[in-house]
Amino acid sequence: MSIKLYVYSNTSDRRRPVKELELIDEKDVELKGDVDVQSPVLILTGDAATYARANYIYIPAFRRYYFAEFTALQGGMIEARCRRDVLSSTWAHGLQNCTAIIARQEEEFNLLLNDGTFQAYANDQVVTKEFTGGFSTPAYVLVVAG
Amino acid sequence: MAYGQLLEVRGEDRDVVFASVPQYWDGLLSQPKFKVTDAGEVIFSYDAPWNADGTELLFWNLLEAQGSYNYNTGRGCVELNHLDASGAKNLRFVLKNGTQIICQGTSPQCQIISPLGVTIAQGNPLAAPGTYVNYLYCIIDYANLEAIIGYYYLDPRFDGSESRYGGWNIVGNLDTSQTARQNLYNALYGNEPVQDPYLPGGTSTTGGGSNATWDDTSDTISVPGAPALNLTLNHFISAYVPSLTDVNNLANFVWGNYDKTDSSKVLSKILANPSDAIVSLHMLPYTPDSSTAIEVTIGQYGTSVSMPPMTSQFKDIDCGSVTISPYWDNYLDYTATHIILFLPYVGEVTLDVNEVMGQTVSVLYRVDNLTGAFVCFVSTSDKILGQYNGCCALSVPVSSADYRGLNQAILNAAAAAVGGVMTAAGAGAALATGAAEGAIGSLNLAAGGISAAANVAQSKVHHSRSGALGGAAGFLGSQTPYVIIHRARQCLPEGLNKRAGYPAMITKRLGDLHGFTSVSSIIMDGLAYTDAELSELAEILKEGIII
Repeated sequence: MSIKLYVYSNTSDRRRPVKELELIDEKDVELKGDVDVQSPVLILTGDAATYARANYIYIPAFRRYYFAEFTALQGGMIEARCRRDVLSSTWAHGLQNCTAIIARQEEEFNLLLNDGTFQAYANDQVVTKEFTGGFSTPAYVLVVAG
Repeated sequence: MAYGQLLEVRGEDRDVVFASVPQYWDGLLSQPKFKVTDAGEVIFSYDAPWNADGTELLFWNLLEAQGSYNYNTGRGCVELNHLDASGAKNLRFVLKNGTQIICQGTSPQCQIISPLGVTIAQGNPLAAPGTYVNYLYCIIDYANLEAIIGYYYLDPRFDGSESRYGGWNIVGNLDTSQTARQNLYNALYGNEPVQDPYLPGGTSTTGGGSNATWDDTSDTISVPGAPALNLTLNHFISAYVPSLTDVNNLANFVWGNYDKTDSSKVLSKILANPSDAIVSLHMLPYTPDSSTAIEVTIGQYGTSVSMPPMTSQFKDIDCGSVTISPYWDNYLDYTATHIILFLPYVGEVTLDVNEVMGQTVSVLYRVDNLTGAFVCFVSTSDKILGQYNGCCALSVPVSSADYRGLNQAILNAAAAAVGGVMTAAGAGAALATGAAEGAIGSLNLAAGGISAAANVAQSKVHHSRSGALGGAAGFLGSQTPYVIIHRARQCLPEGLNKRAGYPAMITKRLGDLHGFTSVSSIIMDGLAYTDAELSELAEILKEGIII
């Protein structure tokens, strides 16, 4: 079975569903045996210099992106040990259309919700505000019989 | 038949038969029939055919030794003892509590011998005198018998092997134990567990949500108007608003016109004591309303001393207002803010942050000029937050008795105030008005590894700053109300929202969001991935992603 794969250099945080990818190589790969779709191990032709910055693979046939670790083998071969990037894979195939209850968000939030994520300094701010009026000039009051 | 063998219920009529046919019954012409009714009655009947010469039942040979009955303590025994064709037929029931019900019958009837009060419905076929009764049919109603509860089953036991010529015995044990009852119930209705003892209290149901009114309207509670009465108008007393000079002039008059040895001194004639002329003399921390000065009269006698008369009994002292504005405009204004209001002649009171944040708080004292008693109204534009009473009069003693009473009152007030000084609120207690549970630092944020912060706000101890400040003590204190606002100061790392976000609790499509996002709950429809992948994805989304 022949599949196409793309080898990338990924410089984005792993938490980003859409990553900044630089194409390193693309291959047509002949699968010669059983392949674990979740964590494939592939032997590719290539040189270490080319693959020095490679850390990411996309296999369209498997509908998945992978974090990859490349090992240079003898004889001009590169071993790619892949582990699924489930976030990017699913984002590209439907996750962004899912509706969720958002616990925390960078741009859409409600500050009146109790947020225990940041600390308070031990010394409180103390302010005093005086009312605009009060008691003033005292006076006698005399009550007599009759 | 084996002892204790469970009965089997057959047929729509619920004929109760033994689970296995005893060997003794093989070949019998008939077998006893037992039925169990809904009321828990056990009805048994037996056709007992006699042999040709009427001397022996063609039935079975099992029996008990004559005259003895081997039954366990606590087990009921049903015994049908037929002696001979013409003899008495005894039907004896021995109940769990040992009560024996003995029925003795002669053909064709039987009747209860003992105990009295037990009802036995009995029915025997009518037979001509001299003929043999071929069955004895008896219904025992156990409803009135204390030992019998619920269902029960017959546990026939046949002991002994001695046959008895001319008669037959059927021995059955009436087991009224709960276990027996349950076994019979199971036989009748299938395996049902012992009734849940909580069942009589009812089981859970769905409910709620259908009677909500969603009424968040609020009535305005305004400061009431002053009472219309004016006690200064009665002729038993007269009230004035004198100056110090006026007071001294009157004192000179009183002392100068009291001499019991001088008949011209008018006050001596009407007063036992010169100070009796003065009902009260006190100072108020404001000037009551008064009119043009008139001559002061004591009793019916003019004093030639003029003072402005008091024109109204009550006076409002408007202390103005303070606006409590949000400082952070976030949850810190409510959960980590503590507001204390100091009121002259009262002391400090705590304001509920939820009631005053963003509101203008007003303070108004309504004072009774005659006594100095007041009610202090603390209010916002639409409601009264609190009403506090006290006394703002500083009594001026005009006699030694007055002084002693005044001094004691001051001492009493000071003693009552001791407990109010420096009272530590304790963790969380003082913040009941401002800090809800889960204040600063109480939540863990998994994303980014930010750990839970110390709950600084709730651990603060808030101190009382005053005791009871009524009367004379109040004159020495602050005469203007003020608020003290304690706010927590946030320690906010720059870019926290980009790395950890802020609380949202909204429902959104993920593709419509930007930036850091962590998910509380999601339905992942339309994703053709493995269960393991989706589980991993759910965890990733909860920790947070950057869209």
